[in-house]
Amino acid sequence: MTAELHTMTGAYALDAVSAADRAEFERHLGECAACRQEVAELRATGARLGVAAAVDPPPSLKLVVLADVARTRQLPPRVPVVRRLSRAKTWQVRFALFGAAAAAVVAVVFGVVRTPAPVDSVLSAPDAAAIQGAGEGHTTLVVSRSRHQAVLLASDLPALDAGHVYQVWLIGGGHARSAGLMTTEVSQRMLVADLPADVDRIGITVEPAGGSAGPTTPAVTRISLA
Amino acid sequence: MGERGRLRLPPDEAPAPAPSAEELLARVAAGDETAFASLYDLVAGPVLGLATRVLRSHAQAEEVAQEVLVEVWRKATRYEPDRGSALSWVLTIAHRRAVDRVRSHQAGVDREERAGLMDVRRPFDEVTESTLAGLEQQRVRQCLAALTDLQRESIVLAYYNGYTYPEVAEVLKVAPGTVKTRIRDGLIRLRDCLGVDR
Repeated sequence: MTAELHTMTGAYALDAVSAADRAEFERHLGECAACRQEVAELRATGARLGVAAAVDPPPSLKLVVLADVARTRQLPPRVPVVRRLSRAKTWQVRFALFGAAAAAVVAVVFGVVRTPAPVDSVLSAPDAAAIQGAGEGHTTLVVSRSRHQAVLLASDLPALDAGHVYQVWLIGGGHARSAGLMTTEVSQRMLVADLPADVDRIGITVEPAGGSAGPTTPAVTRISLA
Repeated sequence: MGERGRLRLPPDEAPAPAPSAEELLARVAAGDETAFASLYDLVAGPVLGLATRVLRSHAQAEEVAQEVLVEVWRKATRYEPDRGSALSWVLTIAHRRAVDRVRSHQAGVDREERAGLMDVRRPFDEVTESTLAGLEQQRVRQCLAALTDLQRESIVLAYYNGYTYPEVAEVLKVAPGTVKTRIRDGLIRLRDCLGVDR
């Protein structure tokens, strides 16, 4: 553990880091038990600041939340999943190191696992803009039109059975092009895709293992670039 | 789910102490909506207050609080007690959501202009004058006051304004690395002052 990375615990615990820093530090957290402990303590400290800001919520909020809860399905508990990875044995080794629950990051460029180097290029572009997705999981798309690239960060997508994967689609100009597959072994994923100018939205669908030539199910998550 | 939850309850004799947030969350994980309503009463105030501090807009804060509280229901099965208290877990979700909302909303806005438009020396005063009223709040205020100015301002801007540490550095006119270490040093002092376990 480098001293440089270790000092990030405070900023990370307060969410005071960029998406790129967050991903890098979470990779480090997977390997550093002392850092995880410190982050937990500093987060709990931050939570005290949150408690200090408490207000009386309006009664309407409780009604709305309880009504939502009554029709919201809960996530199943996380159980260890062993799944075959089709490529890049080195990544299998790294997954083993991180553990299934640790926040690991995979960069997939059109289905090929590579180093996350292009990620920095997109995130540091002067026109980089972050867009939140709507639907399952937490998705953030960082887009740079000048670099013709986009980085998709996804976490907490519901786990799929061994026969299915998430497939990411670049949609626009009347067709959908695959940007790659995402499996659910890790809690956070990153996918880098070249971004043709006519793409105006991104969709994530559930497809049979190995992916499909075109989307075969409705999107579970959508991100509009318009 | 509800049936099983009822069977596990102790017989109705002396009034039991109010269940902790952790106990409630465990029952929520088993699908108990009544336990969720009790958990709501414990956490909704801090969640909404925090979202309001970060987002400023009451309408947006209520939206985010609603999303967070439903997320607590959805993800109750993923809570790991050995990684922190239930309240800390809920507020971590709330802070992340509020900050993500601020950053997606503000992406594209010229950041320097934004920093220039805000009176950044105000947040701590606002915290001390308007929000920190009760006993718990007084302890937090005392412990915050024991920090150096730079530690306190860095933590307040990061946590209550949702700034990244480079943004805090820009606003306070110091090096990003300095802010990063001051946030950590300040939080450690705050942790020790407040007697936080996890």
